[in-house]
Amino acid sequence: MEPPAETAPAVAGPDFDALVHRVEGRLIGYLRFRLGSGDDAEDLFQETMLAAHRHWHEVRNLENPEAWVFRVAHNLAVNHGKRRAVQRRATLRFAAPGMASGPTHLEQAETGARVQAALDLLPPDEREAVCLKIWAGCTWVEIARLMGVSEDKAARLFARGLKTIAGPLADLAPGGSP
Amino acid sequence: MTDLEVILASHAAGEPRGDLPAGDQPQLAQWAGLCRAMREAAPRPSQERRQALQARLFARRSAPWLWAAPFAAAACLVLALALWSVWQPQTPPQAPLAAVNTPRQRPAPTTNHTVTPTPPESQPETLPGWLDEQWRLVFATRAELPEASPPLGGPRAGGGGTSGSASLLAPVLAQAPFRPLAWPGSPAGFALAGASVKRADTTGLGFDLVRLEYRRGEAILLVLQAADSDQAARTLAPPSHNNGAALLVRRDGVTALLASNARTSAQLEALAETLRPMAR
Repeated sequence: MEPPAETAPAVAGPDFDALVHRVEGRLIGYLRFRLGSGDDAEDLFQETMLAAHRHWHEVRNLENPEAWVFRVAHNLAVNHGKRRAVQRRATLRFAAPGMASGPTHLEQAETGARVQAALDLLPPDEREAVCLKIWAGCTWVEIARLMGVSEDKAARLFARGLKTIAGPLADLAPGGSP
Repeated sequence: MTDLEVILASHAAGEPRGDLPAGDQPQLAQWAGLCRAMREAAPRPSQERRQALQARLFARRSAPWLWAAPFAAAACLVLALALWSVWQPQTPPQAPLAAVNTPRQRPAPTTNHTVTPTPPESQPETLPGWLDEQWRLVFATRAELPEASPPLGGPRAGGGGTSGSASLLAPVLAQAPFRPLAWPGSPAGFALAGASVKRADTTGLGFDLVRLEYRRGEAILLVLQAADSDQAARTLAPPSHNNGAALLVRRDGVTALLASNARTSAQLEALAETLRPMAR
């Protein structure tokens, strides 16, 4: 259950603010678990909405502005993932043995951390399908377009990923084993 | 991955793909609950996040105009300097009071000339301290002379007598740095009540003065004289509160101010015509 959104000072007009209000929860959730970092998710959320604001005169006339927003967020996340991969390789190359290679998420809730740990077990395409379906709320058609696959393939990627993480996260679901 | 699992996962995600057999409901409930739990694990919408976005949007909107700020400031400065240079020569000088009352014409040395005071609204109300005391002395009361006053001027016309006047004027003649003006006798209705030489350091006016005070009852006629100069004329020029009963005269090397609480400036002008340089 999302808390009621408070009104932020309007800069770009009520239409843009309404779009921010509609997509904020899903977008920040998608980015958070897609990137594995709350800070990175916040940064890319800002970047995504700034991009929407830059192209607002076009976006506002689209049939589904939210799909445009999530496509931009997906592209930014993909690029961000590539950059992080390069950084990770460089870090591993020069890091001392035993040095921690990943960020810690002390600020995250325990559930979020466990979900993140489970998602880390997935291949990138399955993880992307799960994130787009669970947090972005995309349809199979939208997921297929974003990932460049068929709808059936998108559904299968999601199902495979969900099955994989269902084990480690079984206690989160009602009736699941702890 | 079986087709059944794909169907189950699609139902659990809320967008079913295919029909679901009735016997698989427990696994569907588990996966649906997992999907719900994962959604709830997402960060919540927050006011701080939206404010940060608004701040970045505002900065983005403002940034394109920031480059113009230095040019705008420079343009304002140039405009202000231009306006200042245009208006500066027309600004009235912030000179002392006396400068406002500068006579319009400088008379020939031997020509009688009366100066019309400048309009009251253009004159400041402050006077040098000593001079202000003289104005208060004269205009503290308003006196009336009888209509049947003797004619002006003439040794026998005055009420003060010549012997008394001569005794009072003698020290003045001896000390004055210029030839002061006086009436051969006393002006009509008045008697000389005092005559003195006031040095510049005692009056603070910047020049020596001859002070002649004529009285008749409450009626006062005060004559202040200085060696004729623009400074003396500016300083002694009648200010606005003279009630039309003061007159400045420049003649025979002397600047003389006549002020009375019982005479109009027209009457003072007639009196000034009878003033003569005193013989040493």
